[in-house]
Order: sequence, then structure tokens, then C-alpha cells
Amino acid sequence: MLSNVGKIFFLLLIASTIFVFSKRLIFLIRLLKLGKPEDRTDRFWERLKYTLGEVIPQRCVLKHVMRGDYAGIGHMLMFYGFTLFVISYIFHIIGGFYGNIPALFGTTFNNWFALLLNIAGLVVMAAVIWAVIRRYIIRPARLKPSMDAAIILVLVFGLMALNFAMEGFRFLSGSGDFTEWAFVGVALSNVFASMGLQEKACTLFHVFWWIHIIVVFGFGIYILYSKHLHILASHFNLFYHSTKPKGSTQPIMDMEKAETFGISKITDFSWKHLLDLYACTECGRCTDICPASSSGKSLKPFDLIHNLREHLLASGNEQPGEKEGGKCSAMIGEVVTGDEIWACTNCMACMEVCPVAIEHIDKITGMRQYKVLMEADFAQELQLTYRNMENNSNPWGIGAHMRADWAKELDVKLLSEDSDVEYLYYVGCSGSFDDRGKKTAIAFAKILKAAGISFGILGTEEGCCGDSAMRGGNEYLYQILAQMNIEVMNGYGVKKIITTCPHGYNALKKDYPNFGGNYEVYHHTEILADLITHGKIKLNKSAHGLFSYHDSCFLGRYNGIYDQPRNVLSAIPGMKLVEMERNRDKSFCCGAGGARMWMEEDIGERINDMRTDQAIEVNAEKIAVACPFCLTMIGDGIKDRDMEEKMEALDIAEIVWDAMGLREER
Amino acid sequence: MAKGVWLVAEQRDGAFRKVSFEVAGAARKLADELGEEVCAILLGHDIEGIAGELGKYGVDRVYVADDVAFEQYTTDVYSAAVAKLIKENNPSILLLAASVQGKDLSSRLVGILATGMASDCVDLKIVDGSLVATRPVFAGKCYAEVTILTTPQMASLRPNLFPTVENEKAAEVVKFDPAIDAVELKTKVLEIQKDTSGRVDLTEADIIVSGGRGMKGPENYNVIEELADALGATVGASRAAVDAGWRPQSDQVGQTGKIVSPNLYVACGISGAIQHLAGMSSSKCIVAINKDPDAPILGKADYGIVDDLFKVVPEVTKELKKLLERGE
Amino acid sequence: MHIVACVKQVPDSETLIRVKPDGSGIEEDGIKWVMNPYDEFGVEEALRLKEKHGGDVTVISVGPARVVDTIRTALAMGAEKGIHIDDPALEGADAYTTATALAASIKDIPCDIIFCGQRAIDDDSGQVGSILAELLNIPQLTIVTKVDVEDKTVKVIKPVEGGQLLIESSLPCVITAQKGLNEPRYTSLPGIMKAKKKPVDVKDAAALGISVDPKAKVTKMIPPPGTPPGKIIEGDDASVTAAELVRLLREEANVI
Repeated sequence: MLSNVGKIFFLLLIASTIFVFSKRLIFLIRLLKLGKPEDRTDRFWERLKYTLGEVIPQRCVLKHVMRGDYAGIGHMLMFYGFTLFVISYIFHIIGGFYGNIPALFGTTFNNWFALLLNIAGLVVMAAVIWAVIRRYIIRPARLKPSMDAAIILVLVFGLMALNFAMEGFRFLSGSGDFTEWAFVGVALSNVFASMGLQEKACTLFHVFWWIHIIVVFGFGIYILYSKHLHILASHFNLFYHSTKPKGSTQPIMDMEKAETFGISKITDFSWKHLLDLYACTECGRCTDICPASSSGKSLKPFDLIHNLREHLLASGNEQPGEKEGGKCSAMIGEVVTGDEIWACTNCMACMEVCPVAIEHIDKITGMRQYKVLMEADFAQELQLTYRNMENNSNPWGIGAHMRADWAKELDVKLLSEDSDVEYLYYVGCSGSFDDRGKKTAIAFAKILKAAGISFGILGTEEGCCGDSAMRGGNEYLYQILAQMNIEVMNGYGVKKIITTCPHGYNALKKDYPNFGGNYEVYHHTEILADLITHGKIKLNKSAHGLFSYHDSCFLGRYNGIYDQPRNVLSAIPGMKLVEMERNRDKSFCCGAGGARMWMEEDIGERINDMRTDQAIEVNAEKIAVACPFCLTMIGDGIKDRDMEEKMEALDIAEIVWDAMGLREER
Repeated sequence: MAKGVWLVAEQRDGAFRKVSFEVAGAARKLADELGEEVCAILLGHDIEGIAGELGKYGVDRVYVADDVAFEQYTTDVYSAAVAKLIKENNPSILLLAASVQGKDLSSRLVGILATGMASDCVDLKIVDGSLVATRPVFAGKCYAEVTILTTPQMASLRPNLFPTVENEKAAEVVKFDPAIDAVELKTKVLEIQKDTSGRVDLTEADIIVSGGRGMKGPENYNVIEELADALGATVGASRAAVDAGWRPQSDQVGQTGKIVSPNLYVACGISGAIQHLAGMSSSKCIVAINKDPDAPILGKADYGIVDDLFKVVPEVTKELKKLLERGE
Repeated sequence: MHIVACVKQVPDSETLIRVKPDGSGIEEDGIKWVMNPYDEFGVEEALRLKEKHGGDVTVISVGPARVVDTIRTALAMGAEKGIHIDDPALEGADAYTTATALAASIKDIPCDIIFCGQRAIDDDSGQVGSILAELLNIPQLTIVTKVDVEDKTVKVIKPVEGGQLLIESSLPCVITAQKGLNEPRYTSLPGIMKAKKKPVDVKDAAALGISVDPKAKVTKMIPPPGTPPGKIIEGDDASVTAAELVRLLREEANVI
């Protein structure tokens, strides 16, 4: 317990710490409030459960530990250790005024707590040493050297050291409320004694006591000025995570009434997007896994979030984004470049791997919306694609009247002739117009017929799903296309839809409900898996060659469909299946999502070529896909790598039709 | 009473352009059916000497105006001169070639003469004493038969289509005063930039020869270039060739390259993936040479040869050169 | 600068064109209508000149009620006002008649340049621009790929067989736009919203003080001979197939 002077001084110290802390916290919260409103108060208990589930068992950092992401273990140790220490700081403060912790809480408690704390202290120090080795000696690519990180590591280690030193001198000085269960303190006191510090022990104890608490307070304040802000922000960020269906986008509702569209200033983001910037702990997992970053594009999700945060903080003293010149750089163009905005393939690997639920994609889509809808400033190739979608309801601009030509020889029902079918087969633009894609549609239609499934197609009444428009920022065009499709489908009373394209699947299932389109949507691999399980189709012919299945981002990460395609393949006699290293939720994008299919890729390496290399690495001869974009991109990749003689990309529908052994003469 | 089938002959650098003979041949045929004369109008500088040549091609009389003002075509003086003569002579039919000059001149004349014209015709006939022209519309998706309700009944003829006639006659040459001093010159040709590459830009080319992945390397493009020379074509490339660095980006035909709509597109060693097709599918005639019988482009081509392009293309060039030598 | 851009609404180039059974025209239902692409180059160039030199752009179109959509598109791109000439007597009119209507509506507007597309992709005629120039007694610069305006003159580049010409003209004049002149802008959403409020004057032949006096008539529409499926040319060796190909291109396809 301190002397009265000490107590007064301590009180002043606490007060000034609280003052500085609060001032900064208010500033940070004020910045958040500059963001647009967004209602995330729904499902309180679900959110709480989720947050606790992420934090307490540290699932946030351990979720990929089985995939080789071991760094999370270090975090877990530091997290538990530091939580204990925070409790000890509270005791420390109480002790300053009231002294004698054992008197307050009992000897048994004090013993156990001290023991745990000592263990924790050692563990944390070991974790910091491991962290230093990783960051400065091993140097994994995703960890950027930063002064911020260095300071934090020094502070954490320092706090542990100061605490132990303080305990050592406490024991040596014989001052009360000490327990021998604090074994590190005991050991240190012997060291100090051997150094001849016995006499000065009492003074030194007091010195270290003050230094320790000052550093604690300093650290507390530093949290609000550094990336360590994540220890406060991440809990809220997890709590306010997005509860909308995974992979759905945020539509702009009431487009007729809105005056601006998309995001151009930092204040155009909602407060949750700004909170994301606080929650980022700069772990770099997102950049590590991002296909754009891996292929040399300027987009690095880490940098995107980091730069936006710096921009937000820098513009904090005036209204951000509204001052000409001065501190406010143009957000789009300077803080985030056009190349970065357009390089994203929407693969969602970043969001999947982020420990604190940051939503990267909606930020990028928002900026694209601004460029497209407000400025009409975007790649020429994409302009052509949008015009084609407007005029002929497909990105290639092929005459809309030819949409059903693929089915001419197949005797497939049109809903206009007979809408009393169980399923609508939504073919999509690729299946309808692309010669390569048509083969998938034809194969699948034949399978459905052989299995006796009741289905029909819309034919020329079908329109482009609009996914590429939506993800390319052209929300206006997307809504027009979506509403047209919904009107037609609702007109026929469509209830169940099967589609062979994951982009169409995702749009129909997750986004169309925003505009009155509510359907049960199935991907063709789900249906095929089902048909095989129930014996509705027989797989008679053996497969030849080594197969590998490429998980499409919009089927896998977006919709959790990993097993069905594999089950379908495994059911084929003689199937030899090998997995690529980047598979399932870690699958490497083919490069076509996010409207990139329609744009030139001339920076760095080709993403699809990189994916093809990964397939070559496992000696795959047949690459099975479940998406027409992937089919095109990997097919092109095989050509680029000159492997056409040895490798082939095939849709699962084609593989299954072949395995059914019913193939007619060409 | 309007009488006579007239045409405007086109010359350049002191020699007739081939289209003039085609138009003359068409005029002769119409005139024979109507029992009327064929008269040609020739404007230029130092061209009096060639005027009579038109007689060989079916023209009865050539009206010539030789003046330095006609050295380089401009709408102002040419349209004024022709209009004057037409108003004085009142022909029933007036034909021009649908060449660059012809399009510019003929349309202006329609305005001056307050008449009607069928442009870019592929066929002309006489029905009940009147001209009926057949011309492509909707980019050739269908044809329209057009009658002109006023005189002169005007038509511009698609080049390289109408046959020429030849005989041993000579034409009467008459000089006329174009009265161009009264014409206010509002436009002036400042510069004539001759295309040194001799090739038209892809997007405006009538004939394109493209090479793709099947070319196997930049050095092999000479077979494409020779074929292009023989056809008077522009050279294009598929994305694969551009990506491989064999051809410049400006040569790329496709959805992310140039969209082209030539009369003839020859695709050599190109598989015809949808992005390429999106760039050239509106070509009037598509020829594909590819050794892969499954290449998608063969399904889209009007004529396909499944064979090694390095064997076929030089042979095609050879055949074309033979054709040119025969003067066809 | 005061600039006028003439636009025509035409069927999209990929839309299926079906000739009516009696050959009197084409079936109109199911057609996707768009702005004539060559006219779009004209509108874009007009807007660029306005942005560079100041002034305004007026857009004019002749056609039935549906062409208002095309006029609005041009307004969304940035033109200030539109004129819609709507008269049943002008439907399917020949080039001279159409040009007469345009001239009547333009003659009272101050203008420095009038842009037209070099041709419309439905009738492929390419006459209206030149006739319009004659009726207004101003020069014409046809099929142009570059435009530069300085003071009271304009310089253009015009491709010709074997090269290109640099031509200078006084103002006012008519310029017909060719592909390659520019890349037309995509309409921004605020542009589309603003366009709804911009003025569009509707006139008929009587209001323009013209009488409709046709000069030409389409008497019949003929669908093309059914496109034969593509031929794969077979032969013993390359010289045989090559010769056959050349023969077919010349005699059957008439493309060489």
C-alpha cells in the first residue's frame, strides 16, 4: 500500500491515464460515427454466442491450425496469458490503495493466482521470443516489419520482465502479501540477493512497482494509437459480423431515390466497415492467401485495409474527405489505386482466413460501384461486356434469340410450353452460348432425362443472371437483369432451380431474394450426388487417368459445397482422385470471378496459369470443375502451359455422362 | 422526258480505277434494255487523253472537264460540275461506284438533284421501263428491292461485283465547261498521307487474315503476310498469339481486342474460343484452316479446311497469285 | 460551340431480323432497339468538343414514339436537349425525305457542327448526312476518323483507299462519323437520372412546315438465301483444297 502522497500521485496518474485514454477513444468513436448508418442489431444472442465462440476457445486464430497455420498457437498463449495479467493489473491498482491482496481475496486464491500468473508470464515471454524469431529471423512473407509490431513485442516482453523483477524485489524486501507459489519471483529474489541487492530491495521494489504500473498505463494508451487497437475493436467487430448469407452482396436499394452510388470517400463506408479498419491486427493472412497478391497484382488486402485506416485517422481532425488538398488525399486514386480496386476476383479467401471478420469484398465492390455508376470510368472491355448484357442479355453479345439453340436436338421442355415441371434448369450464359460451355449443358440435360427428372428450361426467356454486372460494380444493370428474370420465373411459379454455374447459383440463391425471387436453388453437383446415391443413374464405365477436383470459389467458400462433387467423382468406377494442396476452403481461384473474366489481365502472372501449375504439380491429367468460368480459365491455362496433349479440363456433368456409358455416336 | 444512262467515272493519278469499268458495264446492260445511250462524266487534271478508253467498256459518249481544280477530289467542285451536266441533260439513270469518292459524291448529288438513290447495290434491272435495284440491308441479313420515284434514278454499285464488258468501240469525247469559278470552295485537302504499310486498319478492313496459336512462333507469320498481300488484306491475331508476344496488341481480334466485320475473315491456326468469335462473328464470310477437326471455329466457318496451315496457306497464296496474273 | 448530333434508333446488330411473309418489311416485335453505333460516335465527339470548347449539344432523331429512349440515352451521355420528329408519314421514308425533316428542324438552331453517323446499320444507305449538308448549303466531311476544331475551321482525317486525307473545312459543316473516331462513353447513373428531366421537343411534319414527297420506295424485302451450313473442303492434298477454296471464295461467296 502506498503512502498518502503516493496515493494522491497514483490517483493523479490514473486520472490522467483515463483522461488521455478517453480522449483518444472518443476521437476513434467519433470517426466511426462519420460512417453511414447500418443496422446490425439483429440476432443479439446469436452474435454473442458467435463472439464468445471465436474468442474464448480462440477459434479466430486456430481455425486453420490443421492447415498449417501455427502462428495462432502463439497468439492463443499470449491471449490467455495477457488476460490473466489484465486481472493482475487490476489487483495491482487495488493494492496501491488498499494493499494486502490476500486479505481481500484469501491466501488460497492468492497462491493459485500467483502460480498461474507466473506460469503465464513465462509462457508469454516464450511466445514473444517465438514471435520475434518468426518476424525477424524466419520472416514469413505476410509479416511486414513494422515499428508498431516491434514496440508492442518489446512492451509485452518488458511488462512480463518488469512484473517478475517487481515480484523478485517484493519477495526479497520481505514486504507482505507475497506467496512462495510465485516461483519465478522467488527464483529472481535469490538472483537479486546474490547480486547483493538485499539492502536496496525495498526501494527497488517500490521503484519497479511504479515503473511497472506506469508502463501498464502507457501500454493501455498505446493500444489506442497502434494496431493493438484490435484487442478492443476485434471483439466488437466479431459481434457485429455480417449475418447476411455468406457470399451475398449488399444491394443498393431504392436506386431511384439515391443521389450518390458507391463509395468514394472514407465517410461513404458504413460504421461497420470503418470498425473493420480498427479491428485489423495486420497479421497479413489475407495478402498471403490472395490470388491477386500472389500473382503480382498491386492489390494486397492487408495494404488496402491498412491504407484505409491510415486515411481515416489522418483525416480525423477535419471532416474526412471533404477538404480539398491538405491532409485529405483522394481515397480512390491515391489511397487505393484503380488497379487495386479492379484486381480483386471476389474469391473470398481473404475473408475466410481473417481472424477478426473483416469484410474486404464489399469495400471493393462499393468502390467499383462508384467508378461505374457515378463516373462511368472503368475498363473499355468491361463497357463492352455491360452493353452486351444490356442488349442481348449475355456478356458476349451473341443474339439473344439463339439462347436455346444448344437444346435444339435434345427435346428439352420449354416452360412456355409446359410449366408443370419440378425443376427449372437455369442454364446460364455460358451453357447457352459458349461452345465449350454448351457441352456441359448438353451433358447435364441428357443426364436429367436419363434419370427421369422432371425439368424444363426458359429458353429465350432466360436472361443473364447479372452476377458479373453486380460484382463489376454495375448495380443498376444487375438489378435490371435480376428483376427481369424474377418476373419471368415468378410468372411461371418456379419453385426449384438447378444450375450448372456457381455464379448463377449464388446470385439466384443469395441475392435474388432481395428482389422478390425466393427459390430453392441447387447446384448440379448436389443433384448428381443425390441421383447417384438414390441409384437413379448408373455409372458403368470406368474412368481413365488421374483426376483432380478444382474447388470453385463460388461453390466452395461461398456455399460450402465441397463434398458433393468429390462424392460424385468417387462413385465412378476406377476413379483415381488426387487433391491439390490448395483445396476446399483454401482453394486457389481460377481468376475469373469479380467480373475479371471480361477484363484483360496484363499485370504480373496469370492467375489461371498459376492454378494450372498447381494441378501439374500433382500430376493431374483430368481436372474436374463444376463451373463454366473455371472450365474456360483452366482450359486456357493448360494451353498456356502447352500441356494439351497430357491434360484436360472437364465439367463434372461431362465426366458423369461419360461414366454412364450411354454416350451416342458423335 | 428523261433519257440516257449516265455514270460518273472515277480516275486516280491519271488512270481509271477498275470500278469505273464495272459501272460502265452495268450502265451498258441497262441502256441496251432501254434502247438508250451510255454517257460518262470524267473530271480530273490532265486526263483528257484517257477519256476515249471508256468506249471499250460500253460507253457511247464521255463528257470531260479537265481542270487543276479537279486534281484532288473535293465535294464542292465535283458535285457542282456533275450536277450542272445532269441538269442540262436530264438522264433517266445515273450510276456511280460505291467507292469512298463515290459515296461522298453520290449522296451530295442526291441532295442537289432532289432525287432518290439506292446505295451499294448488288443487282440492277429494268422493270416496266424503270430501274429496280437490289441492295443488302441489315448488314446483309436481307435484301431490299428499291425503285426510285424521281429522275435521275440514282444507284451506287458495290465494287468488285459487277462484270465488265469489252468491245472494240471508241467513245465520243466532249469537253464541257464545269463553271466552277462560281463555286465557293469551303473544303480543302491539306495533305495526302499514303499508307506506307499498305494496309487498312483492322476495324475498317474488308479482308482480314489472322494467325493464332497454331502459328507456333512469330517468325512463321510470313506465310500469313504473304496471303494477306495476295488478298489485299490486313493481318490480325488471336489473343494467344498476342499473349505469347508474337504479334502486337493492336493486331488482336476478339472481345478484349478489336471487333471486326470484314467481308472475308481467314482464321489460320485459331481454335475459335468464344472470346475470339465475339470479335469477328459478324464477318460476312469466314474461312478456317486448322488441323484440329474439333476446333470450334470450324463449326462457325463458311468454308473450312482441316489440315496443317503451313501446307494449305502457301497453296492458297499461290492460287490467288495465279488469279491475279490472269487479270481477274 | 453549338453542336447538333443526329441519331437514329435501329435494331441491335445481333437481333434476329425476320422478313414479313409478304415481303413488305421486317417483323418488329422482339427487336432490341439501340442507338445506331455510328451515331454514337457522333454524339461522343460532340460531347468532347463541348467539353473542350464550351457550348451545348442538341440531339435530333426522326422516328416513332420508341425513339425517345435513344434520345434520352444521348441526353444521359451529356447532351443538353433533344428534338423528336415524330410523324407516321416519315416512317420508312427515303434519305432525301428524312434529310428534309432534319434540315427543317436544324435551320433555325445556331450550330457550328452537325454530326451524323456515316451510315445506319439497318438500311446501310449512308446518304442522309450529305443530303442534309446540301439542304443547309454547308460543306460535308464524310466518313471521318479524327476531328480537330480551331477557331472557325475544322480539320479532319478521312481514310481513303490506300491511305488517308487531312481535310480542312470552314464552319458550319456536317461531319459523318466513322468507327475509330472515338470510344463512346458509358452512361453514368446520375446522367441517366438527369436525362429524364432534360427537354425534348416533339415535332411533326406540319410543325416543321415540310411536305412529305417520297423519292424512293422499297418495294420488296427478300430474306437472304438460306445460309448453307459451312463446308469442310476435302481434298487429297493442300494444293487441291487450296484451289477449291479460292474458287469458292470467288464464285460462290464473291468476296475476292
